[in-house]
Amino acid sequence: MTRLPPRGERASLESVPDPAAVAAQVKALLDAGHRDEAAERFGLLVGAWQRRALRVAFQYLGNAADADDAVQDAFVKLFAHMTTYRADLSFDAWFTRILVNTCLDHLKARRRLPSWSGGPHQSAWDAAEVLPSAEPSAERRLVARDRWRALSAAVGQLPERQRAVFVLTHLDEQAPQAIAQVLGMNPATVRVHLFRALRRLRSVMGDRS
Amino acid sequence: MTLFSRHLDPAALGVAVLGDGADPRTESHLASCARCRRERDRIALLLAEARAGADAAIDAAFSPAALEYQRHAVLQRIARNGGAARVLRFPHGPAERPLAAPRADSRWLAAAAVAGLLLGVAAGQVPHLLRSALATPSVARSVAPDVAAPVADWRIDDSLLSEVDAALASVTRPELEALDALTPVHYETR
Repeated sequence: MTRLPPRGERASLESVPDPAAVAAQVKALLDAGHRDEAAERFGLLVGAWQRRALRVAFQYLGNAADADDAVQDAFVKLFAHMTTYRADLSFDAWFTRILVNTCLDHLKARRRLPSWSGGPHQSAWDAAEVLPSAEPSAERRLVARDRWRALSAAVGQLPERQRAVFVLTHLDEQAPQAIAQVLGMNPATVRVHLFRALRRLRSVMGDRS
Repeated sequence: MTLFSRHLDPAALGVAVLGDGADPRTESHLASCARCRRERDRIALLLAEARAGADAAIDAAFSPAALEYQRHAVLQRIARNGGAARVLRFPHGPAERPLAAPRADSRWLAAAAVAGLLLGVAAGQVPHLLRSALATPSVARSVAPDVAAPVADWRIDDSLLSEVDAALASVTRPELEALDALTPVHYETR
């Protein structure tokens, strides 16, 4: 089976001294009334997870400013609920659920506002336009940019659950078992949603059948 | 793989790429079908490229400094939220009061307002009463300098006239005698 290669964020997350343990420490400090120390400790979690969170939020919301807002909101919500953290549950799944729900809230809020500019993915595409081209191959980066632009636009049209499953498997590299915890469904259902999402993305993926 | 096709559905290949493994039927087909393996690799590459594009867009939009700024902003919001929670408390008393209580309160408020008004009027009269009671000494104080001033003037005038009389009586100047003769004396004017 071909599996996507691990990326920097996963490696950096693994280098953090166990996020679940840090979360438990933050909870203990909050329970003891040491709020400032808890917030300082929480900063470690923010630093370790924010880039990964931004990638998911960026895919959902399509522009950097909204992604920034959503990620900040998600971390603030996370801290507000840290006293309810249970060490026996997956911290990863818990935070991802908060993040996805926050992104959905932002999307709903944005739909209530009139649209003054282009589509929701316009800004993300604009950001991609300014990508530096000094990396290994400018041509490969251009190809990557085009792939992402096309895929991002198509993912934005997916139904909510299919989009969540696809984003979390593709951009967040989560396994169906973990996504099942995040979204509150069983792993088989996650696979079904992933299959349906990929079918809808078939044209973007260059179906040769 | 569908009933009538000899190759796997691209979506099934995508699940095999993104999921945590292909199901046994897919695995067995991939093991024997070079075309589907190529297709799976193509899909894997495509998804990897798209993800690299997303990463590059994130890098372009969020520099390390921007990430640090965001982390700082999160911690600031947490600190601000904590402070606000300690200061602002949601009021919960009025909901437990009986329905008639506000009317009684309003009557007490009206009575207190009237009493306050009366006290205010009475207090407003006090300065006037005090002023009238202290009117005499204050007038005396204000008049005293006016009385003293004429006394001083009178004394100055008296001494000046005495000096003039003495000078006239003691000193006789011949050059002034003609002028003196022409000046009428007071008893002559009557």
